[in-house]
Amino acid sequence: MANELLIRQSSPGPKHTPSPLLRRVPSWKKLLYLKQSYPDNYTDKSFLSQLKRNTTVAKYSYFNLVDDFCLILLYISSLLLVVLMFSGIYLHRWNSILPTIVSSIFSILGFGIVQIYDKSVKPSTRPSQSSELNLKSFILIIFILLILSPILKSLTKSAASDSAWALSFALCLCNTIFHDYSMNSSFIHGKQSQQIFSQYKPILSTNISLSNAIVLASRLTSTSQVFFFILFAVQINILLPLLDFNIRRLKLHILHYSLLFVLFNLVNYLIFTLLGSKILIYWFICVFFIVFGMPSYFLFLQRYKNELQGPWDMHKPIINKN
Amino acid sequence: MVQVYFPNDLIKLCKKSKEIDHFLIGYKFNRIYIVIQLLDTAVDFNKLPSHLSDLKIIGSISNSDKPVDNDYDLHLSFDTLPYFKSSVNDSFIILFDPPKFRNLEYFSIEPILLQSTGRELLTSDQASLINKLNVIDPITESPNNDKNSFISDDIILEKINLSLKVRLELKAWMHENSENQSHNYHSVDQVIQNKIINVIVFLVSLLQTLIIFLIWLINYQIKSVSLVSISKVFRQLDLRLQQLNYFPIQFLCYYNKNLLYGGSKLLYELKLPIFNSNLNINNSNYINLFNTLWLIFNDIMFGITAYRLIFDNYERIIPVLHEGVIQKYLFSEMLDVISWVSVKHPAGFKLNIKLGHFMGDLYSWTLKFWKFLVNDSIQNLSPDFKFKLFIAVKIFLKILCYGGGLSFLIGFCIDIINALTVHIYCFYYTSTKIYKRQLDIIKSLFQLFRGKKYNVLRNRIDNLNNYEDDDSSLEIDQLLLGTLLFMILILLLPTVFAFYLMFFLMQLTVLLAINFLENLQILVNFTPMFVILLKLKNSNRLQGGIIFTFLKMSNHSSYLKLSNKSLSYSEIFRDFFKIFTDSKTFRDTLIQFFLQGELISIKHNYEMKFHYLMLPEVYEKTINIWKYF
Repeated sequence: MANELLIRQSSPGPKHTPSPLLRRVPSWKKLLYLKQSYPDNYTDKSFLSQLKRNTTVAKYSYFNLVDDFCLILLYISSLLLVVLMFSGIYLHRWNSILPTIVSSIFSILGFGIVQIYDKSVKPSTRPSQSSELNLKSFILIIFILLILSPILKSLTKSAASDSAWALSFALCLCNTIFHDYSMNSSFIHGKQSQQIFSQYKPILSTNISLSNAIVLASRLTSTSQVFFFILFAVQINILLPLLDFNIRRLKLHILHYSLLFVLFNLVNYLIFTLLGSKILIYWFICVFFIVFGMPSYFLFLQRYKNELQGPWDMHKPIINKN
Repeated sequence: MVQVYFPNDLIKLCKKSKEIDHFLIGYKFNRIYIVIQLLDTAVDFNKLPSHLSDLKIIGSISNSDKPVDNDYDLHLSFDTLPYFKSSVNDSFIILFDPPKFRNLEYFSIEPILLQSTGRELLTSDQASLINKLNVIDPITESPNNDKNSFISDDIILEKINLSLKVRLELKAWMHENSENQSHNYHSVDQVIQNKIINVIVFLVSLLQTLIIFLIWLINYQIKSVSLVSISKVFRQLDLRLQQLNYFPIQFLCYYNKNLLYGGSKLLYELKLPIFNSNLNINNSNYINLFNTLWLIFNDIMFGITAYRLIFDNYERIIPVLHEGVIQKYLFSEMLDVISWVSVKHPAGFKLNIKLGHFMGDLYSWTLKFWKFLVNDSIQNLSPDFKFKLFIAVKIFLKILCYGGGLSFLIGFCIDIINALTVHIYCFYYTSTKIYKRQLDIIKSLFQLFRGKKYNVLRNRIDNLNNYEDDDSSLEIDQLLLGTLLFMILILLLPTVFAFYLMFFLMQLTVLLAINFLENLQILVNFTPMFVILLKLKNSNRLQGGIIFTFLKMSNHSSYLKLSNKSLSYSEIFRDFFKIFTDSKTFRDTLIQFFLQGELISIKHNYEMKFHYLMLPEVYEKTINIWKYF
């Protein structure tokens, strides 16, 4: 690693042995109120002894980083799955009921497993609220969607399709940027890992996902299709990352990787059937770049980190004096 | 430094009798001399009546070369102008025309107060200038300073103003002294005159009681709604009656000065908006009285003309009003616009068809109901009843125009417009409420959308994560519901806004029309017509301050001319123009109100009009003026 910590663990003040020859000149002390027999511009060797560089910068291992960047792949895959499913429903008149039922079964199953496992691991502590998606909320969302789907269907009816696609694209882009990926490889062994886990709450990306689903669904023709598609999108874009987060929190790594594998291949299959092999190859190149290229670029950038710390007060620039 | 104020008419007298020596009668303040009268012989001034007691001989004027034997201060000679016998350095001889007080001429430093629109605050610029003046020129601050009292302050100007009166009184006193006669007798004429005046006073006070009752009646509030507050005709009637009610006081203040200066409680009880105890309230009362009379007369003349015009062209006006305005613009065209906005993609904007259809149906149904109420109900009347109605309207308009004038007709027009466009107001009101509600919901849901919420208790925006461990933090279902509603409302906002914009523009048109008519009404009611005529005729009567003109310099003394500076046109019109902008306003916050979904309306400041006319605040007390007779 290039960025080593240049920490000199020396005690404050210079260590010097009181030799009889030097006794006449007392050693220099970093105290302004003392009158010392040194010139004003004198700089002692011990002056910067307490300077520390890059104390808060963590060491990263490449494979841990790849592991983290897989989360990006997971989330983009889930976004793509919804968009691809929509294009299948919209262009090829696929039935939207089947995938919704399948995803519903899997999400209920998944959260059931997580909750059971959670209780078996830590029966004493209360499970964190993210896994607390109980039956009530689930039914509530379903019924609200059912009520509102006729309205949702008419929302962008008079607008052109292109504007809906453009809006959807912008929303997806924002979603990937603002999503809380909850990577934690640098502190995976530290004490703070539990704290970071409990802070996972991707409010903005949740909202954007739902908005995207509404915008896409409003182009569909029948009310039931709108309802089923939005339900599907909620499960894939919102509940799936939540489930994955809980799986990782419980350290069920095999389940996490198998989930990623299934999702990734599902997306590959859909791209192949809907868009052809050429696009699939582009997609693979993108995935390769995200999963393997970006971690190495991240490590490359670490070398330029230069953070200084010392026993002094930092100067902060004062902007906006008024 | 010596200052001598010398009246111009005495110069003429001096010219006639150059050879005779005169005593100068007048006042002396430190080194300022004010010459009031010339006398040939010395009089014992110790016996003067009390109101003339400060008058004395201040000097002499003679052309003879013999040395001065008397012990007065001032020794003048006369050529074409008076000059000092022994030349004094730094001396000023100020010539002035003695103001004719009976013609309401006088000198004043303060400009006359004709109208007022509230006290004006000094701008910071002016205040700094005044401060500077206080620092540089501390002399004017202390009038008791012996030597330097040089400025023509109010005391000196008052003596000058009263010079003719004092002259008359002096003459009368000397006459009395010589003849010792008093003629106090009542002629038969005077008795009859008194009786007639008593009858007139009785009639006028009776009328005034009636007027006060009427004002009370139209201002009587039933659940905070009075006739005045809902109708512009009654608003105008209120103003007119208050003007009439104030006439006796304005008139009597002019003819009986004891009312003004006698320290009566009456004027205090009336709570006049502005009251300067200076001389010029008398003059301004006179000017205001005749200005108001003139305008009322004008108003009625215009009203009669308008009435004639309307009923000469009656056959042409009614179809235009009925078919053109009510049927076309207020109904069928509006129906077209509503349907255009609701379903036909107005100006290419892709609005939500379903919602547009729904809202358009609501509005057009209301519009049809309004048409049924306004138009059809009149059309379905029997021709006999229609004719009766027409006669009734004609008589009403005749009373309005002949009794009140054009301003009443305009007020009636405003009332009619308000009544006919009530449906536009209703549409505007509802669409504004819908828009505002939607905007409010979107604002708060937007905070939820970005993961924040508004903290009411601390008036700030908090993160949702702040209450991580509490049960109050939002569940995912609540979050999703919020987003769902947010998206729906955002996507429906353009449709709601289109309706809002349409009705906003309609309401704005109505308001602009009403605003125009109100401006016309102000023009008829408040133009300072009499003041302009007075300025053209005798500008000395519009005191705007005094002015010194340099005439010449001879014998080490300067000759100045003291004259009146009359009010400039900008000063006359300043408050008048202010009424247009300040008595009603809706423009300053128009765009802000439009975007925020606040209702726009013309905000009136009716007080200002009374203020401008200097009408009393307590109108009932005007009747008390008759107690002082």
